[in-house]
Parts: sequence; structure tokens; C-alpha cells
Amino acid sequence: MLWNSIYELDLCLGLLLLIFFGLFSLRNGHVALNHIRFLCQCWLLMITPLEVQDYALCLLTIVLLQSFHSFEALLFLLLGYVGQLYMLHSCNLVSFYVCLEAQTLCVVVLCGLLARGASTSFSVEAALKFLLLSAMVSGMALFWFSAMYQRTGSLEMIGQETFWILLVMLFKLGVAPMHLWSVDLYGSIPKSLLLYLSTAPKLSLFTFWASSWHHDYSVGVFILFSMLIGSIGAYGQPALRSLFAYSTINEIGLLLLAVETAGFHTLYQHLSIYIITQLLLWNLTDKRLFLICAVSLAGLPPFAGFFGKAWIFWHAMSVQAFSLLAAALLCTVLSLVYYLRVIRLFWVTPVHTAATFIGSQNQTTLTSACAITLVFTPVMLIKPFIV
Amino acid sequence: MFITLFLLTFALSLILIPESQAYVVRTWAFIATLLPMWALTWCWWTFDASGHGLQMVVILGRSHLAFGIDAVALSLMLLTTILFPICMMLLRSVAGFMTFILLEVLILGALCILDLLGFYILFEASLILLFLLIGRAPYGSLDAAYKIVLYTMVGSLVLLPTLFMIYSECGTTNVLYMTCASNYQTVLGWGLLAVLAVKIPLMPVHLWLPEAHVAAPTAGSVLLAGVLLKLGGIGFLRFMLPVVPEFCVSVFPLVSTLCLISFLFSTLSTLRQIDLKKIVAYSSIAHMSLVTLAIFSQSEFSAYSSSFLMIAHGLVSPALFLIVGILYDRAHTKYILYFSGLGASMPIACTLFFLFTLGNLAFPLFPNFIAEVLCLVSIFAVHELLAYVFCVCQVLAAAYGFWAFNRVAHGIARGPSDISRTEFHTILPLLIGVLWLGTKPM
Repeated sequence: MLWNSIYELDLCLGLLLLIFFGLFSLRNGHVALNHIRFLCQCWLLMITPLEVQDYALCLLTIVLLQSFHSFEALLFLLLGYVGQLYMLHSCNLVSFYVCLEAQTLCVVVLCGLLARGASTSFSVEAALKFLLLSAMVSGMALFWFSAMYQRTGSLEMIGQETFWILLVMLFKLGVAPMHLWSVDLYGSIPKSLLLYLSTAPKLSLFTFWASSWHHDYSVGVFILFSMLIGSIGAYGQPALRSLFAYSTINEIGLLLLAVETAGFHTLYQHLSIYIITQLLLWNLTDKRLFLICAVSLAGLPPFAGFFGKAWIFWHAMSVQAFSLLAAALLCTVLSLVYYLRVIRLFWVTPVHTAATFIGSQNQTTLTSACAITLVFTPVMLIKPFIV
Repeated sequence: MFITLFLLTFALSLILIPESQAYVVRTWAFIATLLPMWALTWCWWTFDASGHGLQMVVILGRSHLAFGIDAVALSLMLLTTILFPICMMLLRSVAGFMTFILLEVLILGALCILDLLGFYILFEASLILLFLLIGRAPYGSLDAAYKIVLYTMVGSLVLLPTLFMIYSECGTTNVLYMTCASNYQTVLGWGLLAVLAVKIPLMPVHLWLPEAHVAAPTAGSVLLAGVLLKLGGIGFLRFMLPVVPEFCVSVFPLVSTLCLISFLFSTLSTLRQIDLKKIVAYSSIAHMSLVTLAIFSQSEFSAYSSSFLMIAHGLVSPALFLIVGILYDRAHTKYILYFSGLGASMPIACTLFFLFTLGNLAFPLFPNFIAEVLCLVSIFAVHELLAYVFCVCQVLAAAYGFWAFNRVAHGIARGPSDISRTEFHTILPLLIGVLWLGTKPM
């Protein structure tokens, strides 16, 4: 991480100390939460190097930080952010592993910690599952890295067999044969952490994949698995959260298709649309906003989700990946049905508890949701017709 | 034309403000749908009917998004804007008004856009609104809502890669510039045919239409029958014939077989129906198959005759749906077995029903007659045997028309009260249009 000058480094470290002190004071009730949170966000902004991808991650984390309220959450999120930042730029196996583990363990700890009241046992159970599975996968990856070190004597990432890195990354993303933890986790963790989990690791891992790393193997089988399981698995789900966990798996499959066909610009477009959708989805206050979310995820025009999918399909067609494209189109139709079902549940049946969200909590979440909605619908309308 | 869309989006935003006072919203919505009607009448006035090309073309900047009107589109847009105030008179809830105004924006945009991707986006965007409209619990059925969305979605997902192929082939999706090389025409043609065959229902993929028309509220049925089917027709005329003409010629045997089968099948199916709305819906399929056949015959009169039949059908079918809606309001059932002898207690309504049934059968003095004669002429120029067969089969349409009318209007009187003034006024514009077009077509 390169800072421009020693003064800036000094300022960053000083700010970090201030934040720690502030967090401890927060625990004792001396300082207001908003100020500490603001300081954390400023600190994030300052330690980011001057590249677009890092700033995207920084912006996302700043927005996500807005919905957390406790001392441990802020601390671990900052730590996780540092891990992600280093991972984006890592070209060494060890640094990749360390940063990935840092980020994962932050999420694991937060899963267990942020429970409130009755859902404590669910959160702890989910955290344990995630911990065990990710520890197993990371352990296997570590073994492979050490075997490679023994064989070749170097820890550079380029020029090695990249299969295990691929597997570890796909596991963390929640890609289909290894998706079961995400389905369980989505149902059990509090909403702010769910928002973090479904956006930030995906952004950092895909950015790492697209910019710093080259994969030698085709991920076609993972794409097919993800899309099919994501489309069909949601049919039996009773809970909204697990339904959207499966829709996330479907979307990850689509993003993998974008990576597979080397359409990285389409990857970023669809990823950003997906992140905005997730932000809106888990911050809802109104059933119309939910309609926008669900229709955008389903890929119906005129919302932005259609354009994200359309660009991915377009790119897939231009590189002639016809069979994958056909599978993707089929899975779009399959997933449309459960989106319609959820929309119908919200809108058509006149039950008293469903459609009226008790207009919740902070002004901040409300403003973020509204801002996102405004950005949402018309932004992609202009885009296809230019160029 | 741009003014029209602008007016509508303006009305849309104004709808958001008074949400509590339903009466104000209602009048606002009604006025908001009258404005495009006047704007389009002005467009009609300034239209130069002697030219062959597109007029009032608006190209946005350096993008390839363009809007333009030709005669077919102009007449269909006028039909749309006449039908929407009628729909507005039938609605009762604020959500309904919002939905319909949104639908009007989308449909008017889809009728005048010259860009294939834009057309796709606009008519797909109406799908979710139709889902909410049809799936509403007390009147509608969820089954029908799923069917319409899934059928149209599958068809349009077939179009999507085709669209990308057109783009990579021609560099643009604007129909003004698209001329396609012949080696890609088959694939492009099949893609376009897939989605348009679902929309203007041809035989194997017509199954959504009876259920959707039955399950929609009255205003929704009026809209579906009057306008949305015509989107398929204009898709054929505007996007398929100019872009893939050789494919159209080569697929004509298949399309004509499908049209014939769907005509016969829907006409004969109607005789077995016991739901009044389904009778009208199946007759819509029959008319639309004749429109498709006329378009694909590509003879001298084909565009004119098919658009005239579309307009005629767009006046008569909504009127029939309105009458059935009135009967439903009285009796809360649509089953034909419950209605009998309405001629005694509802004379005005039965007169109207009789007149529009005659219109449906293509009786002379009605625009359907002129339109069907012209369609048959244009088919006759290409394929004489098919035209003979269609002439003969036209008679079958009379069978279900008169059977339905007989069951409803004659017989032992069990009468609901007669048609009220409001309801009469909703049908009145359509009646005037039908009578005028029937005796003085343009």
C-alpha cells in the first residue's frame, strides 16, 4: 500500500488510534455513535490507494458501515476492509491466503456476535457452519500452496496451477456445488450483516479475479450448476431470505458467465447493478420498492437488472458461447416464476401483515434506499442506445 | 408525438401527489388520458397521407433511438388513445389508475419506436403491470397471470440473442438502417417470429389469451384486446417485413398453415364455451390470425387491409368486452347459462350487443366486413386456395356469434336492470367509431 507521503501515513495512523479510543469510549457511553462512524468512514476513505477499484470497494464499505451500530461491528468491518484491500493487490500466495482469511474470519466473528435476543442461537449456529466449512476449504488450499512451494520453491501466483485458488474463491462467493453455507447463513444473520455479506466479499473477489489474476480453467460446470440450482432451488423455500439466497446464487452464476467469456466490463456493470439491488432489497420500507427490486432481479425491462443481464448475454453471444447462453436464458425463465410468486405475495393477497412495513428505524437507511431507487430505474435506459 | 409521451409522464408524476382523495385522482387520470387523444388527433390532422414513409421522425442525439409514425402506427395510436379514456371510466382504485397510465406510456412508446431493442424493452415492461392487473385476487386468476407473463417472456428471451445478432450484423437496431445479409435471415426471422407469434396469438402459443382475457378486469380486457394484440401486428409490419423479407416469403407456408389452424380451431372452440368472455376472446384469436395472414401475404393491399382489420377489431372487441362487463356487474357471473331473456329487460344493451356481434361476424355496414374483404383480396393475390378456404370458414364465425346472442338475449326473461347512462357513454365512442368506419372507411 503506497501512501503519497509520510504525513499522510502519520495522519492515518493517528486517526486509527483516535478511532480505537473512540470505540472504547463508545462502549462506555461517552461518545455518540454517529461521530465515531463518521470517523471510521473518513479513515476508510483516506487509506485507500488511488485506484478506481479500491475506491469502489471503499464507497461500498462506507455505505454499508452506515447500518451498523455496535463497537465490535465497526472494528471488525474496518479490519475486514483492510484485508480485502490487500487481497485486491496481492500477487503472492501467502498474502492472498492471509488476506482472504482475515476477511472471512471477520465475517464469521460478526455473524456470531451481532445476534440480538431470540435469534442468538441461529446466528451462532450459522457462524459455526461457516467457520467449519471455510476453515476446511482454506486448510486444503493452504496444503496445496505449501505443496506448490515445495515443488517449485516460489510463492508467486503467476505461473502456478491455479485450481485451488479458484476453488477457494468460488467457495467464498457461494458458487453452486459449495453453496450450502450461504443458504443457511442468509436466513440466520441480522439484516445489516446480510447486506455486508452479500455485497462486499463478492465485489472484492470479483475485482481480484478480473484485475489481478488469470484463471486457466474453465468455470463452465460451475456456471451451469449455479444457475440451475439457483433457479430451481428457490421453489420450495418458505422464507424470503433463503429465496433470495438462491437468487444470489443464480446471479453469481451469471457473473461467472461474464468472467468465463472474458467480458469484464459486463461483469462490473452487472455486479454494480446487483449490489445496488441488494442494498435496496435489504433496506426496504415499501412494497413498491420491493417490486422494483424483484423485477430488476428477474431481469424484466425497463429496470436496470435487465440491462445487466442483456450485456452479459450479448458478450456471451459475441464470443459464441451458445450452450451456456441457452442455459442462462432457460434459467432466467425458471427464476422468473418464483420472482412472480413473491411479487404476488406482496401485492395481491390482502393479508394484513405482509404489505405494510412498519416504517423503520433510521433516517439514514431510508435516505440510502431512496437515493438508490432514484439511481436505479432510469440510469440504464440511456446506455444501450449510445454507441 | 414526443409531446404525447411528455404529457403522459407529466400526468404520471401528478398522479403521485393526491393519493388520499380518490375523486380528484380519478378526474385527473381521465383528463390525463384525454390529452394524448387530442394531441394525436392533431397529429392525424397534420399527417400527409400521400407519402409512403415515416413522418414526425424524432431521432435522439447521436444514439440510435428513434421514434416515428407511419400510417399504420398513427391509426393504432389513435385507437389506443381513444380506448384509454374508456378504460379510465371503468377503473376504481388509485393503483388501477397508476397502472393504466404507466401502460399507456409504454404502449404509445412501443407503437411509435423505430428501434427494435426499444420495442422489446417497452413491450416487456408492460408484462409486470399485466401480471399485477390479471393476478388480482377477487376477480382474476393467478394461473392466467403466470401464463401471460411466461409465454411472452419465453418468446422474448428467444428474441434477445437474435437482437444481439442483428446488432453485431448491422451495427444498429434502428429499423431505418437495418438491411440484413441473407445468410443470417433465417435465424433473425425465427427469433422475431417467436416473440411476435406469442403476442398476436398464433396457434401453438395462443393459450394465454383466453385465460388472460377472462381473468382481467373489464378495463384490462378492453386494453388487452384492443391494443396489446396490435403490438404484435405492428411488430410484424414494422420489424419483420422490412428487415427479413426473404424469410417472410420462405416461412409463408408455415405461417399460413398456423393461421388457418388457429382460425378454425378458435372459431370451433368458441361453440363449446360457456363463459361469455372466453367467447369474445377466442374470436379475437380468429381475427388476429386473419391479420397475420394478410400481413404475410405481402401483396399490394396487405399493410392497409391488415391495419384496417386491426382497427376494426380494436373497436368491436373492446365493445363486446364492455357489454360482458356490464352483464358481469349486474349478475356477478359470466356463465352463459345464467343469462337468458335479457332482450326483455335490457333492450338498449341488447341492441348494442346485437350490433357489435354483427360487427364481430363481419357483417356488411361494419368495418370488419370491409377489412376482411380487403384481407381476403390480399391473400387471394398470393394464394387462391387459401382465400377460398377462408371465405368458406368465415361463415363459421356467424355460428358462435348468433349462438351467443341467442342464448343471452332471447328466451325466458330473467331480467337485471337496464344499462345505465354512464355505461352507455363508455360504449358510445366505440359505437360511433364502428358505425362511421363501417359506412365511410378511409
